[in-house]
Amino acid sequence: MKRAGLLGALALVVLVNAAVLGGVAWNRLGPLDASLRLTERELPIEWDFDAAEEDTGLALELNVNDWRVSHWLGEAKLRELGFRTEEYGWTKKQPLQKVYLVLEFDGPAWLAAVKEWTPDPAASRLMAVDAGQDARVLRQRYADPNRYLILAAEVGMEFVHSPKDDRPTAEGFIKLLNPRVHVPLQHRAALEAAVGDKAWLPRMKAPRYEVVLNVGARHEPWIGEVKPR
Amino acid sequence: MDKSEAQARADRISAFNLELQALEREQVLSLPPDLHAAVKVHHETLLRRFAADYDIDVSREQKQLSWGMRLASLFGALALSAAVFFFFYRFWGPLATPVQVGLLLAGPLLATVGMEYAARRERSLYFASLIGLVAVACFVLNLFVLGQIFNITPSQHAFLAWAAFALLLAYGYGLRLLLVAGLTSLMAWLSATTGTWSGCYWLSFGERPENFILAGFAVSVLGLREQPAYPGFAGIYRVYGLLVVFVAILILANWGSISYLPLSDTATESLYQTSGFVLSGLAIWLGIRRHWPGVVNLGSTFGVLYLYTKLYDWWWEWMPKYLFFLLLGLVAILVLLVMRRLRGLGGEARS
Repeated sequence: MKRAGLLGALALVVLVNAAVLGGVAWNRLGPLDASLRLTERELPIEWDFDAAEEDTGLALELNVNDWRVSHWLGEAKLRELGFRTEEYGWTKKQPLQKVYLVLEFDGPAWLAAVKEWTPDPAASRLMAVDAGQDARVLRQRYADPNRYLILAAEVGMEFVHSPKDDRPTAEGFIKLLNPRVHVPLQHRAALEAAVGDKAWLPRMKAPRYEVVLNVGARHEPWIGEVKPR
Repeated sequence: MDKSEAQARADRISAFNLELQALEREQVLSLPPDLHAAVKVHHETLLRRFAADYDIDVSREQKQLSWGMRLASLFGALALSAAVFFFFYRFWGPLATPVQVGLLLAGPLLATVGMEYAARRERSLYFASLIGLVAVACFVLNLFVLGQIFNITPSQHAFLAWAAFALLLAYGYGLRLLLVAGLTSLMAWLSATTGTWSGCYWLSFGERPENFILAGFAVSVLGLREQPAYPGFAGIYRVYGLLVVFVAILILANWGSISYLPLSDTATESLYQTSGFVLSGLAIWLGIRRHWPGVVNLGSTFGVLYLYTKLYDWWWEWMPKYLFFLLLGLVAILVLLVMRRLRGLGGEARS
């Protein structure tokens, strides 16, 4: 039994690693689902002063602009995603649902947002515009792979009391499941050259770098290129 | 004979010698010197053989030291696991991706081989247990960091892989510490999977304690059947599984709003309070009937906890504090009287 346990454990480690790396290969080696050239506004460096010394890894963080989410994530959409919007007054919170989120870069949603409010020069132009359970259906609807990213996310619902309405209304909120994008060693030099020793500066007026972000068959992103601006 | 049987025999020999000394002092029994010497030689031979073959504790001092060694092994394993995590994160940045992946894969493999080496060198398995837990930590780090490097969407199935790894090592070497690690991962996977049945994403599974009830019951049911080849394993299944169930019920009995049940908060809390008392009673009954002291103690502890939280709800706000604590003390005395009566009934039944 001891020998079987030892060999089984060793084999399990190898097999699980092979499965994980096989999934990565499937994501990256097939045709791209999306490829966008973003800037520091959409992909700022993830910086944690407290952990900087303890963690030498480098990651960017997808900065999703949810300014206009309430325009499309209303009661009808929430019902479509599986929420029970009629249960206002019921105290039990409904669990978050896994969805695919459509992110539009520098498109009509951003232009509409700019008309509504004067944006911060560092504001992200990556707008959340739609969500659904089926990524393929969403890709057919948002076909341009250089403008639309489709990534896994969570959607939640809360009831908001407004003085204008008789009853509370259901509002949705979104959260990417994996907003971190790891920066591998081959792209670190370009990124570090762009930001110098001021990687921690959170809101630059002009973006200091551009990043080509690729997304594969499993809707998992990776960095294709980093270029100082 | 295995290690636990050898330890049980050594404990019986120790108890026999103490009782024989007491009987001789009280002049009830006195063995003839030749018979006494023969028994003594036989016992000493047995104990020497057990100590050589199984590395068991043959004296009270050794037993106390063993407990210390078990604790040191646990704390050492936790500290070394944390060291592995922090060491990797401190130095992984300047490494190329293939090197990072190679190191992450090598970690659990090397630690597992190290565990085998330690097990061959030391029969008491304290070092093997320590290195085994570090191997589990390396495997956790392995999958977690692979997820970070390749931006993989998190999945609950990682818990299943960690559970299988820890359980393979636990059963391979008969190590209880690794069994606990394996069952923890297994229950996390079961709870997360149960959570997805309601339509929610698995990362939200902790928000609904009912997800843990099914997992806890499943694990405790696996402990209903003894596992003679693995002493103590069935008891860990029973007690750990029930502990998870009891804690989940305790939370739901106080916060009904996080339940799945389509009832009002008050009705949900009342239902779980009642279920808690019934389950505590059943655990005590089953534990006494099947001679499972761990289950009896767990049932009694949670029975009292449920009672005290209920008393707090009822009386804390409106009652003077001295009276509240006086009543708690009186309730404890009442519980003591009831349990003493039950203990007496048990003694009468045996006689």
